[in-house]
Amino acid sequence: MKKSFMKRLALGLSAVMVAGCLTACGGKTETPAETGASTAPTESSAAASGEKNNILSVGYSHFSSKFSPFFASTAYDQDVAEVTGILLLTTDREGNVVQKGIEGVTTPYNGTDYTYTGIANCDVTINDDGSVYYDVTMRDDIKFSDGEPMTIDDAIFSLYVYCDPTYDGSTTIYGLPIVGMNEYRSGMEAKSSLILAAGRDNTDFTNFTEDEAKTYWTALDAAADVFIQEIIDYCKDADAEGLAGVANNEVALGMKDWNFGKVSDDGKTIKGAGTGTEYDVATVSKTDYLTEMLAAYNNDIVTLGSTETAGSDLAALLDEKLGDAAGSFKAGVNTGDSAANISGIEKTGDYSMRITTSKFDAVTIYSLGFFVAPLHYYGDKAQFDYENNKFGFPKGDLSMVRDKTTKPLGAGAFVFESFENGVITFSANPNYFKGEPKVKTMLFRETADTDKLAGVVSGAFDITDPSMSTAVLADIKGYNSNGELNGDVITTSLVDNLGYGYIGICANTVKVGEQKDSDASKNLRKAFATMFSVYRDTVINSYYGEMATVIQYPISNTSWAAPKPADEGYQVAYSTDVDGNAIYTADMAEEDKYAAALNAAVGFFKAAGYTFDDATGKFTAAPEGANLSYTCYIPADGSGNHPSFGILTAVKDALATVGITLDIIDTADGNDMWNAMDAGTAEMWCAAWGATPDPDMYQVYYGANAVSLGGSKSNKYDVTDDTLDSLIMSARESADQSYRKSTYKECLNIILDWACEIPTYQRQNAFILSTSRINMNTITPDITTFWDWENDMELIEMN
Amino acid sequence: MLKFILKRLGISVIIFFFATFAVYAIECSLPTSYVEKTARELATKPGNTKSADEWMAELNAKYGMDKGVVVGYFVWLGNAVKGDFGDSWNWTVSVTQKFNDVIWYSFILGFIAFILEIIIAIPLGVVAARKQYSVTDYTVTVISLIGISMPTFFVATILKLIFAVNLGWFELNGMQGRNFANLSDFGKFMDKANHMVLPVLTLVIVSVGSLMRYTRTNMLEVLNADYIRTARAKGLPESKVIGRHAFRNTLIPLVTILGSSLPGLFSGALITETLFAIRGIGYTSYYSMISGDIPFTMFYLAFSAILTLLGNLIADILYAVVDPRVRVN
Repeated sequence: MKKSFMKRLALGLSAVMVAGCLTACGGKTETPAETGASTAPTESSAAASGEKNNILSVGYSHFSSKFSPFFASTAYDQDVAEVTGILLLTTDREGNVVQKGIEGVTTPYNGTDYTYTGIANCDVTINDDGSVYYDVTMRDDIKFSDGEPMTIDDAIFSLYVYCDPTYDGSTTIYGLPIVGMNEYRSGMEAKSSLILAAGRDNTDFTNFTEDEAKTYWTALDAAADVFIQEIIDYCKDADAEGLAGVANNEVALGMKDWNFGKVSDDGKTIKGAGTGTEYDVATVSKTDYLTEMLAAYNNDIVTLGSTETAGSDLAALLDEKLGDAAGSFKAGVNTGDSAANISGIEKTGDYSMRITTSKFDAVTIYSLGFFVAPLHYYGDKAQFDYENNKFGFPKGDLSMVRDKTTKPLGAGAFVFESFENGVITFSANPNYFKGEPKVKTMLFRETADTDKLAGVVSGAFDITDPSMSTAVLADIKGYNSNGELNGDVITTSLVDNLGYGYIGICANTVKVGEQKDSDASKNLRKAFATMFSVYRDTVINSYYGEMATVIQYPISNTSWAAPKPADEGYQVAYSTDVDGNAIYTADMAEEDKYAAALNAAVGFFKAAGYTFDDATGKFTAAPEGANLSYTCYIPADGSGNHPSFGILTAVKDALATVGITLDIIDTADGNDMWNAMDAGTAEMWCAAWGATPDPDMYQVYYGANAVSLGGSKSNKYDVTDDTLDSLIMSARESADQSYRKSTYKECLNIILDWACEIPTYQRQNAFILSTSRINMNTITPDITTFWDWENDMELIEMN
Repeated sequence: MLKFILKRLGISVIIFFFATFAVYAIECSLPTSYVEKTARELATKPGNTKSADEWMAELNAKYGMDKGVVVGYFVWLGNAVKGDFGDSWNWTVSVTQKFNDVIWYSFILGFIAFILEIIIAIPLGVVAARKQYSVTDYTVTVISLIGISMPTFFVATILKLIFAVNLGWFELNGMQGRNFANLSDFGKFMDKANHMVLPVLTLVIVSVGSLMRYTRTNMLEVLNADYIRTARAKGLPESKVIGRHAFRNTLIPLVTILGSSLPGLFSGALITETLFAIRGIGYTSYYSMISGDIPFTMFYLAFSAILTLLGNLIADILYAVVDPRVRVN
């Protein structure tokens, strides 16, 4: 029985093993034989071995299933939208927009002439009044992958989706100065504006309730009481004798002296500056005064409050009186009162349209390269009637478009078939305007980043984009028999990342005294900047190796506006001391450079007004408004894993020797850092900018965006410099590239002078291809940041 | 008996309420907020005119996160009771549809591993017990201890290195091969089965040891019982002693432990599924959690809570059926 039990056990175990092996071998062996023998329909009998080689498998990080050109937000989802859809205007290897796509534009790159074609031409005409026409003409022979022809209606429909008031995708065409855009998108007004506009005696409560109006007016009166009293007190102090002339009514004095009222010759009445009403001088009240103020400022309480103040700000007082309810009065209310169309978008023919903008703006042309999505698929052809302002969907209701988010359709090189089991299957689009792709099936297969390299080696993927590190580079070299990055197994393509790393300093929190733009404040920041910059070479090199280079200007190397080493005046960032002399000499050793930088930093601190004790060699006191201790945020997972972490620790140690403390806050949750930056409380931080093909600096450095002003808060450094602002605007509004380049050079020098941003590194991205499975001659040559393997993908062939 | 069941049911409902409330509160206070992440992305887009705070306020309202934890929870609960779990933020489809799409992969994966585990662990456990302190016993014990001690991610990585990268027998991860679209229906089935081999192997290796040890311990206990000695004394053949008298008695605790692990088949294998990119419920909930997808995570955790409570309830009722003392108390 012992035996029989063992027999049964052995039998059971071997059955398990056989079952396992069967399934293991199944996928490997059955393909050619099985499908050949089976009676499967034509589709799979075509799956002979030749067909199998005609599959391109691409390893991808995770998708979010938002593949529609309108709502794709992650880079991977956008790739799917790009493969299946088509852009109105295309870009070349240097990121410039191709304006003559129909005829094709030939431009040289790296010594070779390349011709770029697209589906449309765009003629730009700048008018005398400053407005600009973008005349778009489309090819008349483009078809979507389902065979439906593409017309200008599809482009207009797409534009209206992008510009719908309820559109919340990531494309920002609605931000362009297109004529009539605001009129179309408005119709949403803040509740407080509606209440103010309706006035005190209003009886129409459609957009707000009677209680809300009452609450608001009570709070406003209470706030105005304080606000106006401050003005009156000021006037009484300054003009005590004036009271007699206004029947001893102090409100009338405040109105008269503050230029909100004109007393009549007989001294009996006072005429308001806002409404023109005549009040009795003796009885005019604060409420009347408020009415005049609101009328004079068109109910703009924010401007009124900050302009006419004699102490407190009216808007702040009002928020205080409203308490928790303040937010609800700022929320938008749909009034339905808006334009029926965007007047700056005009259909001029079956295949042409004119887009009018109110002013020239260098970035507009890039935004006009949007996806042309099929009206018959994403919208409803029956609801498109250009003459009657119907654009394929009900305004304000994008549900029809949203329903198609997971299944894109367009005129791109490939057709989206399915997204199942983590694999997106595409088939070649026979209607593609550049010709049907050679590869008949393409797969985008989701994978963990760590499996990407192994996936190419083991044959799961033919192309993928592993995140690169020195270790991954070494592995690639190990797999190739020649020990190089390009060999018989793997071909590596390295291109500069569209963006760069930096260390930021907020001008508003790191300053001397009150002036953030004073020499002392700049010197304080330059002291830190000098220290940060000297350690960049060593640290970045040890973190990234050949995957990154140190940059000297706060702009990505990928931009045409980036200063090149050969340019006149090009210099290493923060390499001069407080007197403008060079800190470093050509033959200096690294250690000597560190000492020289510290020496120069001490000079900057002294010039900023710090007290230096020569006996101990340390700073003992900071000038008013400044500190001996500053903090720097770095989102390094709490474990120091960040390219700039080594710089911070080295600077911390070096500055400690002269009595300055640099606290490093290594946060595992990057939101801590962003919250501090948005609140304007962060002093220094390490981060990276993503860039766009156009070097426009409006968002990051323009004064109106400064974080302390509370608007878009995208100028995290709080740089407010009038010269810089005017340069940014003039560069933005110019179409002359060489003028723009020299203007941006000036901007960069001003930014460096503010010492708010220390450029650190330009990183490279990589993708790897299987040399053995892909016919490498069919991959597009001269790959750049703006021109990757997905360009000319219809030409790719497998071995 | 009815009163007992009703009482247990009432307690379960209260536990469910507090468990889901705790989960909801934790979800809302996680550092990775989907809304915050999206707001930051939107705020840094070129051409954007709103600050991250404004976007956040707008998105919070849109996703219903502006009500605070307590009100937000009751809104969720109110909808959930009606069977409406909302739309997943991360997966762009309704929560229940996503669940239905993925749960069966987890179930199949877990079920196959479960069966293999039983087939392998129980016989080996019995053999080890019968030959206590023999070479067989030590071998089985050592192997099972290695299985228990090795973390899942380690086993998975080793298997991937050996069988996928070096030998090339299986694919590294995923659920279908590159030629999937061109296969016949049977070919598609075999292709998927092929991709399940390594994950199943991983699950079996890490879980087989404990069941083996459990079987051995119980078998040893039974073998030392008086009735076994009696059976041997009355001259029964060894196969009958083991097969009929000993093993059947071992089955009682075994079935209990196996039965209690049945609901687990629906909860998925988070680590294994994630490493092999098997799109089951474990994989889906992992990516939902790290992206801060509150609707899906809430559904998944509420579902797990119900499974656990249901398991306990059934066990309680069965105990009560078997043991009158429980009923009385």
